Amino acid sequence: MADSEKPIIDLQDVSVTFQSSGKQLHAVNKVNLQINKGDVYGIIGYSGAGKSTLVRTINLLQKPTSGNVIVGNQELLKLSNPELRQARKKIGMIFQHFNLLNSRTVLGNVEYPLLSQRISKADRVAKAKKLLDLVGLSEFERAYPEQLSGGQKQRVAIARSLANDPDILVSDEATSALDPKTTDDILKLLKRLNEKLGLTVVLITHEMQVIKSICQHVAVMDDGKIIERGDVAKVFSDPQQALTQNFVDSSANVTEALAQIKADQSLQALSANERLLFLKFRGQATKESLISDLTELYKLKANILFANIERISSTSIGYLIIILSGQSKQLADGINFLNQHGVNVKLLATEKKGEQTNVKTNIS
Amino acid sequence: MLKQIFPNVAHIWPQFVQSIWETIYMTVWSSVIAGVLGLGIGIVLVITQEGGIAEDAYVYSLTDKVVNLLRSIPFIILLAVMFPITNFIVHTTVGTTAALVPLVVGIFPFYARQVQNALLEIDPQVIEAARSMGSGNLEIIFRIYLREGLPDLIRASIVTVISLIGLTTMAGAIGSGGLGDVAISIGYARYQNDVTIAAMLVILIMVFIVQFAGDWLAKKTVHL
Ligand SMILES: Nc1ncnc2c1ncn2[C@@H]1O[C@H](COP(=O)(O)OP(=O)(O)OP(=O)(O)O)[C@@H](O)[C@H]1O
Ligand SMILES: [Mg+2]
Repeated sequence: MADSEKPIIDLQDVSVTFQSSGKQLHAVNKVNLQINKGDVYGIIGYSGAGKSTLVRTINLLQKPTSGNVIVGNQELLKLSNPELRQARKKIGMIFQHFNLLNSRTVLGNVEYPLLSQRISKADRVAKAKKLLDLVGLSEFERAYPEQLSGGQKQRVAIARSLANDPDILVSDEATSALDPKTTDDILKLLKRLNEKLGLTVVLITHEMQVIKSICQHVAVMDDGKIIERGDVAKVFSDPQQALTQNFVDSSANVTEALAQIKADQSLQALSANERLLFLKFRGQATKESLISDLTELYKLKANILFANIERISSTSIGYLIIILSGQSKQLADGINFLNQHGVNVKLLATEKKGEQTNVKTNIS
Repeated sequence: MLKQIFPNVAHIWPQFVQSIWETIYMTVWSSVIAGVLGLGIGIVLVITQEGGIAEDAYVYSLTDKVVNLLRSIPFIILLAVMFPITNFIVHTTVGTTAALVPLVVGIFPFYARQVQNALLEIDPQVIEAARSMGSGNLEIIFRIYLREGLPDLIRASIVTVISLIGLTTMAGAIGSGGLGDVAISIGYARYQNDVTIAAMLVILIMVFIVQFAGDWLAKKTVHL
């Protein structure tokens, strides 16, 4: 394999085990992860999955209990302390809470990583100013962090992380404390840096929207392991793991809608000829007029409580929560009809109890 | 005026002025020495504690225990206990210079704790960010801990210097000189209340000056 094709980040069998009150906690469990130069690689998972612990092994802020960490052809575990510090300078990192130095100005913060370099003050200031310009914060150089908004603080943090011309930028939930619009701006900035500087970006998040908007590849993490990975469009349009499906669902606000509907008292007492259904369909099915077919072919009435379509590259995933009413026989036939057309149908509540029954899992 | 309200003070005026200087001498020098010691040990406590940048359970627990031990000795006992050590270090057991030894020993553990608490206020995440930028331990100590923590360190120093002024007067009990000595050996022993009150007033003024200057400095250094 040619050097340029080698992954810039190569985590081999990395495990991190914490001892907490006598018990062993496998925060990261034998993870293999290769990330290519220039990639924007997302890592998604719920709180406690081990995402932060995993990415902190990339610059050895967290020493793995076992395994090997190779970044840019260097085996980090074999480096001396000064060598490791040098290597860290080539791996920028940004955080959820920005972690700026409150006693220094915006310019001072960006200058900080350069203080240990042998360059003149004038060069240092010039470089810091250039970086602030790159993130669009030139006019704030004399301000202090406390005078900035969250989005501006994160921009300063990004400029600071770029001071040593890193090859890699690791973002640990960098947008989790920001509103959707600001999140979008920051993500666009990261994407621009990725394209303009050839920066490899590793991005942790628990929101699928973040992954969808800028990542090329994604790894889904659960309980210290990567349970699914690959091309973003592929992974999310055809999830193999329930957890991945969960992320897709909550991204389409389905999880929230389901919770609300289940909590709704008026929907608990449906009559014998009513069914509260949750329908999920993908690709082709979204193009067909399933609901009107139901009404016409089976004389069923469909009352739509929630509808949404999540687009992942060229694939669409549709979600519907409906109350279907009609004769029992026809209700059964109608549900059958949906199943046959590749719709995943879940019965949410019966007229007796609020128990959830899986009519038939069939999504293709 | 002075003669009417503080007749006895006027009587011993040169000695009184001398004692003010002695108090200042003791306060300044023990502040400087205990300041350096306490700052160093406070930093050691912070960096060697669990999760610190130079985590070392052994050094931490040893330092922590010594600090606790020294802090639990009442100062008046310390004065007596320190006698032979003082004699060994400064070859005398009376006067202001001799008082410096117990004063330093009495105050530096207190200051070390104050320093530790001040530095612990700094968000560990900021330290983590510095580490991610390739900062070494010395850089983190001087460019992050001491700088980000400066306003709190100044406040801690004010509290310490004020306590120290109090301790210098106690050292008067072993003939250290200074305002405490005058208040005890003249004001108290000879029932010259005006001397005691004058000494107290001067000390109050000193405390106010330290407090005021410190607050001003702490405010000034929030941003550097
Ligand atoms: N220093 C530590 N000591 C002990 N346990 C730890 C330590 N750091 C993390 N853990 C544990 O390891 C597990 C993974 O933590 P980690 O912070 O990597 O999760 P995460 O996926 O980043 O979660 P979040 O989304 O909340 O940031 C958690 O159970 C956490 O409690
Ligand atoms: Mg985390």
